[in-house]
Parts: sequence; structure tokens; C-alpha cells
Amino acid sequence: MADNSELEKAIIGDFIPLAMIQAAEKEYKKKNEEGSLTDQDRFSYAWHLIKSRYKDDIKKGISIMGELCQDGTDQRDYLYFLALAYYKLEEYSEAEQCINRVLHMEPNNSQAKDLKKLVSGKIQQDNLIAAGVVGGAALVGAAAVGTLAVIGGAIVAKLISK
Amino acid sequence: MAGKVDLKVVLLGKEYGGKTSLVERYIHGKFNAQAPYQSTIGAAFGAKKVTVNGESVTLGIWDTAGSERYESMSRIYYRGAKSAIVCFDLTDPSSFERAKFWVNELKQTEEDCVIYLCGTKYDLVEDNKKARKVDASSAKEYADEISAKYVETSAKTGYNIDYLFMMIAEDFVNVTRNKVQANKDEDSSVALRLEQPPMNREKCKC
Repeated sequence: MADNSELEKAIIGDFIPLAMIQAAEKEYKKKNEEGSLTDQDRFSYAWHLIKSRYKDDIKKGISIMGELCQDGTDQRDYLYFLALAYYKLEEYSEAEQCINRVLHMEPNNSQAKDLKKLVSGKIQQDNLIAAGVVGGAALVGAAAVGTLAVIGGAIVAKLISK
Repeated sequence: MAGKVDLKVVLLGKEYGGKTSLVERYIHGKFNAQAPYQSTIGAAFGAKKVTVNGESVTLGIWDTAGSERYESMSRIYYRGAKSAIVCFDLTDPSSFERAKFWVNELKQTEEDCVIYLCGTKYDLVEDNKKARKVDASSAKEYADEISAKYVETSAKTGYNIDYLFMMIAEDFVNVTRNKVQANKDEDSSVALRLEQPPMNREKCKC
């Protein structure tokens, strides 16, 4: 499997300090109360949330970015950040759906290709682990059956010897 | 990709000013004239290792989106940057005004950041003087005013691209060296001061 750790650090690892997220939240709430909230404000706040290291922030970011994505005309950027957010939540199949839509719009977009590479790597890894668990379970099962057979055999042998 | 980043470099400037092409040329040695224009999403990261006077330096390059929708987010990327390449398109006067905006932003928040003013798409103005909308002398004058270095580049031909990044790496190494040297001098003066008390004590004995 390709080593994506450097790529991951560069794409996923640029967390925003909490103070900056709080500042963005204050701004967002203020504008919301004034009733002057624009899509740009929503986008900016959602972006800050998605760049957070905390899952609750990221989830909130997904919900705001997701609403924009349905109404907005420029979906490319929304979808990219949704993919990034799902990746950070380890929801890789959702991440894959979003990044595939970006690649559908711009097949040669290198940022999207890099993120897709990370997502595919994780999906592949999960599949291997799942296969490992199933394989492992099968082995344990076989071993149990084998042990029972041995014990059974021993009992039978004892009975016969008596 | 290179490991630990020694020097954070950020690119700022108006959209469609050629920042991504500049980085693409520098890191991958490529320029694709056929590729359709694709604006950067947020910011893209790239790294390259260079050697300056036998010393290895890893440049971590943040290529920020020039689109105005990312204006408030770009602060995240120039925070802590030691060098900034502020780009403008030599054929677009509005991009030069935008470059001034970024310079002001940097001057306000990142005092220690070394600024390089970069006129891009030099290939378009090289043989066609009419295409040039920002003349070299006024750009140079502005660069002097803000104590920045000025360079004109072409990602298409590769003109001045390596030169620009090498200059950035060299300036960094020289500044860091000077700082280390300054720290050493400070240390030795501390050491001298520490040595003094025993002498005084000896004197006090009599």
C-alpha cells in the first residue's frame, strides 16, 4: 500500500486554532442575529469548522456546508470540503462520493486527485481489515471445531479402552 | 515528498495570476499550456528540498487560492510564514493593486515575513511590449518602498523560477545563520559575566 502519510499531513493536518474558530463563530452568530448572513459568511464559518480538530465542529461544518451545496451554484469547493470533512470523521464512503463528484467536474484537478488517493487508501485499508477479521474469525472457528474433535476423539478412545 | 519543513513560504495574489503554475513549474518542472484553468480550492501544499552552501533546506510552499471568497481564510496560511511571494500578472494592472493589498496585510500581521514581489507571465510581455500593463520600473520602485525584492518570472519558459526559490532559501539560511551567530555571541557574553563573580570574591578576601 502506498505511504500517504506526508500527503495526509499536508491535506488533512492543517488544523485551525480554537481561538480562530471561536472568532469565526462569533462573527457568524452576530450576522445571523442581524439577519445579514450571506452565503459567503456561511461558507467561511463552515470552512473554519471543517478545519477544526474536533469532531463536533466538523459535524456542524458538514451540516452548514451541505446546505450550501444544495443551493449553491459553485458546488466544486463545497464538495471538496465536504469530502475532507467526511475523511476526518473516518466516513470514507461519503468522502468518496463527494470527491468523485468534484472529479466528475474537473477530472484533472490535482487537489481532488490527491484527496481521492487518500480516501481510496483508507477504503482499501478498511477492506483489508474487514477481510482480516472475517479470515481471523474463520480460523478461530476452525480451531474450535478442531479442538472439539480432539476432545471428542479422546473421550471415544477412553470409552473404547474401557 | 520532503519531510520536516524548515521554511514556510506562502504565495498570495489575485486569482488567475499564475501562482499555481509557478509552484507546479518549480516542484514538478511542468507547464501545461493546454490544461483548462482551474482555480485553487482553499490552498494547496507542496514541498521541495534544496541545498544552500551544503546545507539542506526543506521549503514548505502554501499556494493560496486567489479567489476573493478565500480572502478571510488566507490569513491561516500566511500565519507564521517566513517568506511570502506576492504575485501579480504583468498583463493585468488590477492584479498589481491586489498585490499591494496583500503586502499591506502581511506588513500588519507578519512583521518578520520577508516579501518577494513577483511579476508573472513574463513570456507574454517579453516580445510584446504592448501586452505589459505594469512596467518594471514602477514595480521595482514599489518593491524598494516596502523593502521587498522584485523578480519577473515565467512558469511557461521556467524563466527565473529556480532563481526565485533559491534566493528565498539563501536569504533564509543567511538570516538563520546570523541569528544563530548572534545567539552564540550572547551566550559567550553571558559566560563572561558568569566568570566574573569568582574573581570578585577573590578580591573580597583581602
